[in-house]
Amino acid sequence: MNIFEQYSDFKYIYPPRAEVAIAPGLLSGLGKEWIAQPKYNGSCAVLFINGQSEYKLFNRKNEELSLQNPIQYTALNDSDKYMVLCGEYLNKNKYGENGKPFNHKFIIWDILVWRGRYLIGVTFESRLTLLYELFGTSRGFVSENDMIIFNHLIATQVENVFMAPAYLDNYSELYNEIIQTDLYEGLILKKANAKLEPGFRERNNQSWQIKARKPTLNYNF
Amino acid sequence: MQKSKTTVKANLFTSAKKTTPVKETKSKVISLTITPELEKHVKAYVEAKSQCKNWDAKLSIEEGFIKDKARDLYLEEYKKQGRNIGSFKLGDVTVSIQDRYPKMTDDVATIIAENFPGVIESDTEYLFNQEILKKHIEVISDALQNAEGIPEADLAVLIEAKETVNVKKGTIDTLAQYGEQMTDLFYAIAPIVSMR
Repeated sequence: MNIFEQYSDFKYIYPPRAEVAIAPGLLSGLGKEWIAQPKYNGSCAVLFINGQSEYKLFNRKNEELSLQNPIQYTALNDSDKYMVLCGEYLNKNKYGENGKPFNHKFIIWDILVWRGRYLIGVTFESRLTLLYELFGTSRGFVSENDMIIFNHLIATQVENVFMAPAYLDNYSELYNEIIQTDLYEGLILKKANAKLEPGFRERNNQSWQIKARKPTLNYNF
Repeated sequence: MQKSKTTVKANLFTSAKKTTPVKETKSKVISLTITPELEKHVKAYVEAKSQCKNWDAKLSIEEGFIKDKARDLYLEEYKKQGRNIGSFKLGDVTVSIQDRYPKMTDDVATIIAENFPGVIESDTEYLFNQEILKKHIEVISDALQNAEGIPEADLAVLIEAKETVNVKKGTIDTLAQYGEQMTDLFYAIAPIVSMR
């Protein structure tokens, strides 16, 4: 048993983020051992949910995220112990799939702690399977006045909380399609069998993930 | 008895101050006309830069994979021999598990110390309280030369102590004594791995 496995008191965990970038042209050469998720243009965030009653939303620099809208995060937790989720908090007024600003939503892309257990040593594929089991597989979202079907978002049981879908092939075509939407910056590719390492330092878990981003005013490969 | 000031000395802190850097104003970048020959070189440069980044990415991914495997193989051999095996070869690559450890936060150090007593040590660094220092900069400057004129209350908080926790030097050589738990300790302290 890992000595960090028990997670019963709040300790900040840095999110596992991709630092290494590749040219989008190389995506077609990546094999089956990779799993892709859309890269969203928001603020990278870590959500610490303690049981059913309290939560803290932090940025990737160990600071509490400012300017959030209230969301029922605690309803995501399926136990009275800690759950820690990594995701993107959308606060940059980017346009979503329907061409309208898509703001103040949280998109989950990884799970680090579940039922008070820090998932160190658990593969990305297994964590992803767990996320799918926990948060369903519905691409549709029904609001008071509308029903929306998303191409690259999975709706959860909690309003304004979504999950990033996972893709197993055709990364190049997927990239070209996804970057048409303002909100989507490109793709993050993660090794399916990579085991989660402790995240107590800012640079962690970087050896098993890469990103391919679309060019912007400030970024070009 | 007060000491008399016979000479006026320069303020120690003022003399240490850096000059304010001149702010550069951002100019709009203009494009100049380039010859076909220069354009060819610019294209080649951009292409090479892009390829470099791709190779960097490849290097980083392969390095990560090798390091993961290297850690496991190192621990396996360490257990077999009952001692730190130092540097070792994996094909053409030499791997070194160093007696150097990344910084850690207090709560992580506490967990390690609870599980592995004797591995963590703490150091104290003494710092000036910046607010008090600025408030009494002239006096403190003099005080450093003449030791005079600071209220006792301020003097008491002038120096701040900052405690840092570290993994003890030499820990890498002691892993065998932790028996079955040596792998847990190894991954908790995360010694730096280098490759050449």
